[in-house]
Amino acid sequence: MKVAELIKLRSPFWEELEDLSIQMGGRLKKADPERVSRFATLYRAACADLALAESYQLPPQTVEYLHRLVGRAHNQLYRSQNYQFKSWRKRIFSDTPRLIFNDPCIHIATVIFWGLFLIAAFLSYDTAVWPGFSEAVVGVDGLDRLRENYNGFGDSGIGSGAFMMGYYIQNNATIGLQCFVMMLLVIPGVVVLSYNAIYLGAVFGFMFRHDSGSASENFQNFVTAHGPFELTAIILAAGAGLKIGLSWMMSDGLNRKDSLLKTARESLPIVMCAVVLFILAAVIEGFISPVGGFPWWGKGTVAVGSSCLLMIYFVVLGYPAAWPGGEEDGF
Amino acid sequence: MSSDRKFSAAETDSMVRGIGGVNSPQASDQKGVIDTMMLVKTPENISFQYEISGPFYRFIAYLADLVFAFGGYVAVVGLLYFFLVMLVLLIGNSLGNIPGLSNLFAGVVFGLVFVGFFVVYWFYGAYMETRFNGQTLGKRMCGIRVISVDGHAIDGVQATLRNFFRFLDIMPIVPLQMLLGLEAQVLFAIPTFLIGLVVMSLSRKFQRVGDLVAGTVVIFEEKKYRPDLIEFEDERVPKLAELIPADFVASRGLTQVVAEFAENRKYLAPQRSADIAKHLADPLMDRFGILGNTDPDLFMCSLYHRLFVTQEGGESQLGAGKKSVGLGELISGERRSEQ
Repeated sequence: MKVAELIKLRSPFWEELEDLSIQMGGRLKKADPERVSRFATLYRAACADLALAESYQLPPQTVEYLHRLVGRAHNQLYRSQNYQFKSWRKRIFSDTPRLIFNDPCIHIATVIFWGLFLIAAFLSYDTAVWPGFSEAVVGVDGLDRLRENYNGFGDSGIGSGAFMMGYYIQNNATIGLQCFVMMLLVIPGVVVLSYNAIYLGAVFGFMFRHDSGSASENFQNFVTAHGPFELTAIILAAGAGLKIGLSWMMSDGLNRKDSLLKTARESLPIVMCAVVLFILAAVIEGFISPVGGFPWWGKGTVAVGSSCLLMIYFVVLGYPAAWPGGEEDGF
Repeated sequence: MSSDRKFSAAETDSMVRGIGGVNSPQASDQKGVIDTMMLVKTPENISFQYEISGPFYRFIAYLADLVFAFGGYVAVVGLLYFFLVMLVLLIGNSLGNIPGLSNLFAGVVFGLVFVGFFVVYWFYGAYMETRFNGQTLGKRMCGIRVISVDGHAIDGVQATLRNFFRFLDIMPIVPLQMLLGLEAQVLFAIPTFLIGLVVMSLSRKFQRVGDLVAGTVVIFEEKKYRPDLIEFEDERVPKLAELIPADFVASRGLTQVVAEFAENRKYLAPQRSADIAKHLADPLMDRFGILGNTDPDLFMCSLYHRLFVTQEGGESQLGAGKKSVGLGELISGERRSEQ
């Protein structure tokens, strides 16, 4: 057959496939079965034409066109799967807690965060060891502002609660995700994590000092309820990022790129877990923490309750059969 | 030259059935593919190429996405605010003044504003790319699409990861007054996209950090018009084509070169075009006994006409055991004659 005749013969099919690819650009579900099967037939025919292009001696431009055509159709045939919620249950309640419980990177992030937090809190609390530590970290103005902020509780209606909740979700979850992303390069991420730990530690140490007056009491009252969720969320986000960051340095027998891809896939559920914890913390921080009339023991109960929930999630759901003892992460 | 490779009858046979095909050894490795293309092997055992998109189109798509996402966001927030204000006024008019009501609504609205910003900033791309098969609105506008490095469609995990890691790609973020050299308070911070740009130019498939982490590539996918065979207005072309001997069979390489020449000669000045054509036309005209003062450009056009329009398909003739005329033979012959 002559090349010109061949092209003339095949062109209508190619154009039909082109049109079908465009039509199916939306949702495949809406396409009726006949069209789908027609699409598949045309796709196979185009594939065969492309495969035989060399032996048909088609001119290069036509071959290039066929490459594009097959590429487009391929993208419609093998589409991205929509979110499959059914498989999520196992992932949320079984896979992720086990991953978190066992993961050395999360243990490292826990140690870094709590270690620096406690040291900073101690240095800030005990003015004799390192005089001026809290001023150096937070700044004199910052400390004054802290004292003012916690002089008393402001209005605490549902309106301001919703406002604060939105603000905390945006602010805190963004910091968490940024920390996660920065951890890819390890050092910037560790700097962000350490900075947060030292800053928070210094603030806590300062506010627990006796010379802070009524602000101290209010501060303790404020931070109790949402603390467990929020601090755990920071650690989880950082740990998940650290996992990715270390994966391409210590690839454990894999190609470095493959190791990165595999670990990133594993880490995403952990960081999503962190996002959920940030949101839960923000709800508590918006609606329960700032309420002056809410008794302190009530907030304490919330804190104990949320800690218990975390404990159940990480330890009870995450405890593997063969694991020689273990302590809970995050607390 | 690999394109001059002859096929045995068995090989030819298997190719006709669609087994093997382009996946012959020289096509299945990435070597023969230019580095802005990406070779994908489908489950049907067919290889085809995607053109990889560079930073420029992707940046435009990103800007368009920013406009769409945050334009939509601002519009929704505006509408919401408007309705709530109306609602508060309405309730105030009908039920009298309820203390704290407007505070309540303001709180809810601004709370939603923050949550909405968070969701749009971190999850717009992830949702769109999962839902619409690797395209956001901006990408659709620019005719580009995200796919996995292995050529498959991306899934939700990949879409989320590559959009999370955009935060690293837009680094370093420089405060505006630093760029302008002013000593004012920080008002705007400008993302410079430097990390993304550097990583993209260093990676083989124009992957930014997010692409590397998620294992994705951005490819072009716009519709390409179907090129027809070239028709020559000059009526000497078919006449000259008849002078080419009937038993002449061109090799694959020669056929490709002739097609490339015919497709590109419209971009060349006549003199230049003749200069280029001469290298192939002279030895061939010599062989066919066509007069040497024939325009080489015209001869190449007639050869194209002969190969693609009037000649029966090449494969069967090769199988019949005729000797094809190859490119290497012609060129080396020419070199010899030059020496």
